[in-house]
Amino acid sequence: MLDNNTVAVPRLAATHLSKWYGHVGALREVSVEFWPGLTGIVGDNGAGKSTLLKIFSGFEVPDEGEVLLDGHPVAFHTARAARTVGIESLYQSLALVNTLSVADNVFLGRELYRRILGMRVVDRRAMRKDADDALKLLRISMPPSRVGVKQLSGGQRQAVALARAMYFGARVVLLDEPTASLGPRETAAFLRIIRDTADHGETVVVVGHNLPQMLELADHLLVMRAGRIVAAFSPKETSLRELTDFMVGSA
Amino acid sequence: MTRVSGEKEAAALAQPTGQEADSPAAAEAELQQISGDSRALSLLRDASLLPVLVALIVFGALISPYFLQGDNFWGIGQYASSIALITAGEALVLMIGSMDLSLGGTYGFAPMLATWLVAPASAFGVGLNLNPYAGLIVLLLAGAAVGFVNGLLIVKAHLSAFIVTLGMLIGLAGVQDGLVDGQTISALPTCFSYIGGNFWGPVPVSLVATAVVFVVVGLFLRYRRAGRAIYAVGGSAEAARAAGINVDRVKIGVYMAAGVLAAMGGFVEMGRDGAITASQGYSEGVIFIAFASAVIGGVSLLGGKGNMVGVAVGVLVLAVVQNILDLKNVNVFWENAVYGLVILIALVIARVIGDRETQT
Ligand SMILES: Nc1ncnc2c1ncn2[C@@H]1O[C@H](COP(=O)(O)OP(=O)(O)OP(=O)(O)O)[C@@H](O)[C@H]1O
Ligand SMILES: [Mg+2]
Repeated sequence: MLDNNTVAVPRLAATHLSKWYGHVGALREVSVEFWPGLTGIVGDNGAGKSTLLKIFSGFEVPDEGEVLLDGHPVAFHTARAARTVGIESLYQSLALVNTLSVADNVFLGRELYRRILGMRVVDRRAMRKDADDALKLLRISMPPSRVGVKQLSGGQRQAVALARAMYFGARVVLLDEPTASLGPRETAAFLRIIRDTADHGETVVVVGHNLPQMLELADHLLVMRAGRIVAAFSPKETSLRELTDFMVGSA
Repeated sequence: MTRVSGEKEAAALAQPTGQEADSPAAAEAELQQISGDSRALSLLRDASLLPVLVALIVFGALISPYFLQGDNFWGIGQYASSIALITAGEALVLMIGSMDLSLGGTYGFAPMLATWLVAPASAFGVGLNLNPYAGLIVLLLAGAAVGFVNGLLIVKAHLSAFIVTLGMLIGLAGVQDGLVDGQTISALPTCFSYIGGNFWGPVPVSLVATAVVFVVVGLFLRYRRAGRAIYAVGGSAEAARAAGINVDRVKIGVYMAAGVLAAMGGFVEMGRDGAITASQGYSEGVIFIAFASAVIGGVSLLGGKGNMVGVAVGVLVLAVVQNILDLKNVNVFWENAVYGLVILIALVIARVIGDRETQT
């Protein structure tokens, strides 16, 4: 994905990130770069993968280190702030309100307006239409966006969250084990969507435990262990065996 | 595998009903068809208990010739107005996934405080003889202040909503009692009894005022960002927070709005009575009627669901039942038993209908 890329700086990067939970060093001096395309992050339980994504998405604040977007330092303390600069994260249960419609969820906190008698009112029809359009771009089968989110399957819910990210022009999409709760068919479909998204020029970061899947999906693979990034590969030049060795620390 | 793109995976994401259309064109056609009749449907859905209300009205007309007569019929509207206002407040709090028992206290305390400040000492007032319009402002501020304190204790101090508002309910009732030593103030200034007690032709002013409030609250919930935020906070506070909604502020705002609505309800009830008694609110158990009306009207105790059309119908259903019981002179000792049974039946019906619903 990098061959036709003229950008000289990584879209998202971090230098010397450290995060401590009491005595646990969840992240230790992590420096990393994310370019357009799909970067996979693998690692054993507790390696610090989720912590890294949480810092990029504003859910956690690092104890040390800096986050750079397009080469410029950024600091945010809320998910809202991260979203404002175009960093979207998808957490399966966290992101959607079950009792609201698909359209309401896509536009949650960023509603579209029209004016009636000079007063700004939420434009429900425009939101439904735009939500339907955004979901159509993902080429998945969805009920109309006025339907409640609780009627959706796990994969469709993920798609809604992704459509939301794309609609608002996300520059970076962060996914933490996005297919963990999906069945095989839904997993395949959702992976196709995020692969499309990456091919479209977005910067997509996926944390996953399924190594063969990650090898097939990603343009770049990072291996984390004990709060550090211990290896970086192109999937073509590595193997399951090598990945596993780095994950458990026997390499 | 991941490079393969096409309808096969797309179909995999379809709902497991198996009814999903196969080709995109067919899916789209179906989509159009579903959304075509949605507007008419959504209005009906809001009032899913409307058939029950109609049935009750027919029933009432059949068993009592007096039921449909003007003064009885509009009287139901007048009686229902004050209940509707406090129920609207409770509904908002339920929508954010909480509860507020203290609205029953505010319903008596706020009008008592205002009247006590306004009424002359000879009529159990404090003797300040406050301007009645200033008294009105005190009334609304009292409702907001109680809600604000509730909100702070529940949201910021993380205390249980049940315990906080229970304590507040009892405390407010005590102050209401204490201000007038358990007496009744019946020397109301005209502007205190106008809305609750007067009629425009056959139509009670209170009913018109309440309808206006319901329309405003309903439009607010549906068309303002803060209104949408109430549903989001009640549906999932975590997701709302992730979407950048200031959850604490929404919650505290709702407790305050609910307090104001309860104060308004108490104000209307005072006007209907032509007096404010020490027992209005807490002692007459109005909060239970408000809870029942809200839930019958389709507001979920779990939060995130409900609307003002449903709440209005819920209030009217119980008000009509109450009226029928009164008209039939059901033995007063047994009246509550019948009333309770009706509430349970209405809840079951509301649940059965509500389970088919999909939207807020
Ligand atoms: N909120 C927290 N409080 C205390 N410790 C935490 C917290 N979050 C993470 N940790 C610790 O930080 C370390 C890294 O956790 P993290 O969730 O980033 O791991 P992970 O790589 O995502 O693991 P998994 O694959 O199991 O999801 C772990 O030791 C974990 O116990
Ligand atoms: Mg994790």
